[in-house]
Amino acid sequence: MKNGRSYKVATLAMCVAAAMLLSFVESRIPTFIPVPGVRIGLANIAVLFALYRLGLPSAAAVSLVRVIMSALLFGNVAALIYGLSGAVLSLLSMYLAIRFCRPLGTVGVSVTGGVMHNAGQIAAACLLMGTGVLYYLPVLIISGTVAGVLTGLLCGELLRRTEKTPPEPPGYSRGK
Amino acid sequence: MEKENKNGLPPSPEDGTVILPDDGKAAAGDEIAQCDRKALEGGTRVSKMRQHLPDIILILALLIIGAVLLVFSRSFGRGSAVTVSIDGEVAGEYSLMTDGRYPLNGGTNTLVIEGGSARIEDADCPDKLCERQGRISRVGERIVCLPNRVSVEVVG
Repeated sequence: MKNGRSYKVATLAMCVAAAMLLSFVESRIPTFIPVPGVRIGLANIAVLFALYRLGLPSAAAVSLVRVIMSALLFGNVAALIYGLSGAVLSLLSMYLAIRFCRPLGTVGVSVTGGVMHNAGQIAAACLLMGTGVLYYLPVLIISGTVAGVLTGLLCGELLRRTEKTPPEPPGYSRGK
Repeated sequence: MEKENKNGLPPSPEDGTVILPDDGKAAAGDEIAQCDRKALEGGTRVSKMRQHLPDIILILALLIIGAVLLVFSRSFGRGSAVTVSIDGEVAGEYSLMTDGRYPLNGGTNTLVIEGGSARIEDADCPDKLCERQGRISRVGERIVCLPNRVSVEVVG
């Protein structure tokens, strides 16, 4: 049941919706640290969940759809550029971490994704306005790590609690 | 059958250790789904701390690198002037010794120099993060307004 086609399609759709929702919620949270790019990265929970449950292509779909749609809806062109560069780097790094670094758990992978997301954004900013933005790299590394821990814990808990498909509620009968 | 908790695993022992399940064969496509499980044969008792050790190492390493870079990105000496760069190119230099208000980048941001330190006021960017960054006065410190691509850096 868990590997069924309909399960995968439904989960994918849910992940995309969750990523959009989390992105919106995050856009409403006031920024506590006045450095560009410091955020909690809640949408990464959905991307990481998709990565663990559905694999790289599905997670890529979740990530890209979310970046493009939320840039169109709540952002601007700049948000699109930074978002894409961060998301691509983050996704690749998380996949490589899962694939080639077995000892790393959910939290470690999420931290990798968070830091690389910020790194990608800084790289894009460097292309746009020179190496001056590297000044913010230390802050972004630290905030990316902290955010990664938080989202990693949440995602891990989510994965743990959805390990088995829930039992059918009593009274449900198939085909009767 | 012994009592099982919801996950189908035996109940966790009271001392906070975890019994890792015998993985057996993973279903196709599940190779990546082994989150937080170590592929140990025959469920061994491993403490929660030890289970997450690689993660903790990574986190500590990143935090230390971040802290070190943070310290090295600025010095303790007071700067004498600030350099303003627009779009990555130097557009002007203003002394920190004399107070003044200078419009930058055609007025999108206003540089205020007061009491030996510089800050940004009156920015027309939507997030106004540059304004909230406060005053800079030490060599190497910098304020960047990303939407307007304006950078103000303290030089010695």
